[in-house]
Amino acid sequence: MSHAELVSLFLALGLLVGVARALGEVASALRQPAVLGEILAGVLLGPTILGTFWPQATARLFPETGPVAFGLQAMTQVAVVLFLLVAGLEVDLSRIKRQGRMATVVSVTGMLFPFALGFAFVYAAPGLLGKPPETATFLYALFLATALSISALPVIAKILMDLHLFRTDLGMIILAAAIVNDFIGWLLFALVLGLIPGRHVEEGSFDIWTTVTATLAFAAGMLTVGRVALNQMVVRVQAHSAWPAGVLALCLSLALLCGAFAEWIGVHAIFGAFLVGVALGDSSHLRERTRLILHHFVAALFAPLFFASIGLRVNFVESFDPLLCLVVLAIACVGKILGCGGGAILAGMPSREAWALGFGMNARGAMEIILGLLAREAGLIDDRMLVALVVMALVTSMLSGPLMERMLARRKPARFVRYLRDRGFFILGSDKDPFQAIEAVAGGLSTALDSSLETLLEAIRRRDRLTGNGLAPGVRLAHARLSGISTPLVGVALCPEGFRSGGDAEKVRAVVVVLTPQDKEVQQIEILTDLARTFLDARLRRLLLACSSALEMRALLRSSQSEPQH
Amino acid sequence: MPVSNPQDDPGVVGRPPGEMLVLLALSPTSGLVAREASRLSRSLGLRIRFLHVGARTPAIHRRFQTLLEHSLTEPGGDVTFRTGRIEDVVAEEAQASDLVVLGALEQEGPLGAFFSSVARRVARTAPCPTLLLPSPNPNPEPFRRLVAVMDPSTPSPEMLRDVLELARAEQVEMLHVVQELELPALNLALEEGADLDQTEEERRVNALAARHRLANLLEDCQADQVPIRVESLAGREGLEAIRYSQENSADLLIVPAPERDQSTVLERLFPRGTDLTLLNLPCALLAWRPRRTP
Repeated sequence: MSHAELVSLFLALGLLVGVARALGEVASALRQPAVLGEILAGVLLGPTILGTFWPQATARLFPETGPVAFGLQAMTQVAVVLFLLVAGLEVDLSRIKRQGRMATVVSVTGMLFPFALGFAFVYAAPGLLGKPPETATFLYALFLATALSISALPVIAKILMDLHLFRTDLGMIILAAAIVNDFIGWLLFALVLGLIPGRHVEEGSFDIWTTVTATLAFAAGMLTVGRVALNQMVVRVQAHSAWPAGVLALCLSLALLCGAFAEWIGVHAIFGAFLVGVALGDSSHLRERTRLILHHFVAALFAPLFFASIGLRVNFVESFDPLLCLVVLAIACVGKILGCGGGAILAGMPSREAWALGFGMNARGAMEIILGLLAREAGLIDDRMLVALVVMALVTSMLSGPLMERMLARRKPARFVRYLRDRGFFILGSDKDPFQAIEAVAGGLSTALDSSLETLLEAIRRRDRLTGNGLAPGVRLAHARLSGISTPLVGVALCPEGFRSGGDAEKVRAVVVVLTPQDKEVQQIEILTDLARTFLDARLRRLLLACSSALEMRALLRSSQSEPQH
Repeated sequence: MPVSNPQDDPGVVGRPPGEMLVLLALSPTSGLVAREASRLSRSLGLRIRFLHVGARTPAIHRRFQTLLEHSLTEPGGDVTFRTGRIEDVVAEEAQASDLVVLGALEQEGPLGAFFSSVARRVARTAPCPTLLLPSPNPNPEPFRRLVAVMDPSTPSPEMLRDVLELARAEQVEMLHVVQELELPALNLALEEGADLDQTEEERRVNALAARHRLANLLEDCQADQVPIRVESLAGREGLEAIRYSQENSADLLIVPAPERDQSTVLERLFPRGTDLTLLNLPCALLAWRPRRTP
């Protein structure tokens, strides 16, 4: 590569990553999938926009042939391999059993129904679904059926987090079913890619049956002996190398090596990387922080690069076929929502929750786009179908959260601000310690109680011994359940300079006292989680600590609740 | 696993004193297991019965008699001999028992999860709680630091009550009541624009809720006289319990017993929860399950 070509390559990479990341952030700020902004970056810089108005610039920045194009192509291949590595890390196949019959039914029907629908539609109307004449109908049907049956675990995880549904029964069922869908979807897709005739005619490549046999043996080996071996490797590398560099290098090199092996036996490299991810993800020695670093590494650098590169390769305006987009979107939504929602109803879930589950599982997101791009590169689909899949992935991802929320129409959880009492609000000096602050607030609240202040303080101390009192940085929780009250009581003591403390521990600047009725656990947990979410938000915490009255605090919290939290 | 007062007359408590079934093997640690079991039976007020699964020969019988004479402080221990698959025999013999005690290896080999060891199989099939002793103490002492891992979805008040009874009987220094909190695929939300603070907030908020739910259960169980610490452990089910026990130098880890039927290959390939804990015992382990109602 010449000096000028190196300059071009770095310029192209820098622009792609920078613009994609920036637009991804904008999309996130607008509560849309980050991948939408990242693809838009490619659309802006590629043939669709820049190429239309200033074709010389696009040709210069992102040439279609030559060493620069080769370099970009190689980077996107690495990106997709790493993407599948981190996707595999989160696959926990035993979860489906732990979530019980409901998750199993949803996962099976949510996979089979859209698969069958997609398969049947291709045979019934291949032209309507954009089948290129040179592609075998069976292979095309298999691909589209697979594409329609997968769910996007990252989008689902984000939606559940935003809706505070993560640890609920519904959330865990959705996650378990999506994990299995993901796993089977990628295995099926690897099979589809392995079946493409063109991959077996190159010199040195294996015939199709050798590929299938080697693929099955590779998968079985990685999930049994390989998994145990990788676990031992992680222990040794962590023990004998600097953390996290050593273990990160191990993960990345294993993903690339197994990717190379998968390519060699005739399936795509993503298959090898995904299996490494599944095997590593199961390691009892791989630290949570290592996983986080890998996720960050891929999400910050390789995901924007990969998704922006899609816009460079395809002219989204020229290849936009509204009818095809509509048909693909309709089949995708009907298949997934009916498959998952219907399955959940059959398994005994109440209908509103079941349809909410169907909407949640309908999100396709980045996984669908990766699948589409790889299929296009393999010559299985054309640009029109790729654009239709991208549109379907984005629309389903954008609609999933709002539709799920609307369908659930949940009762609004109890907020602590509703129970904040004026007589329980104090601004205290730094000569007081947190215990005195608790006494002051409890004294203020106890005027509304039958029990004495001493009884109340003893109940708080008992609870404190059990659960500890940390709520957020600089904020201490004092809590008790009482049998003599019918409604919760909340009081706050603030000390902007920090309460007097005996040790070097972080200064406590706020003490929140929460008293809840003994028999109302749901309300109690809602108030405590609301408190935690409120005070864990650094911006809101800073503003709350500066309040001078309960009234001001109420006003601040009510105005902040009408804004999106993130 | 009831704690009876040995002085109680059967008529007063409504049922005879409970029974502890101790499984003896032809292994060097059997004497230590018997000694530990004997101490615990006194602490819990349980009658002790020894069982060996294998052929009864005069030599083996003599060997066990000598072993019991050396191990027990009180005379009278005898061994029942039965033949058959160990877990089936224990399941049958322990029908009237309140606790099964046996020795176990600290660690399973690489294929341990797939081809479960005797101790793990017994823990799975016994009709009552099972105590596995990986390294029984030659001079048995009460369990002082207990870690009780509650079911991550529905903690059992019955298990908590039994744990509290045991803690009182053993006069523990600290009872840690913990719940593992796994948030699958949460890290993937980072790819969709979530930031680290958000995922961390999700973990902390869920941990707080889990801690307070456990604390409610404990308050309802009247746990005042026992020093207790409630924790929620973010991470993988089964694995966090091991780490926490090691960090807190626990001498007894109490977990819900694994399901009786571990039939799927998937579960054997990817053990989770109690199955994972059983592969790597950090200390003595009590696999708790509710007593069957007669």
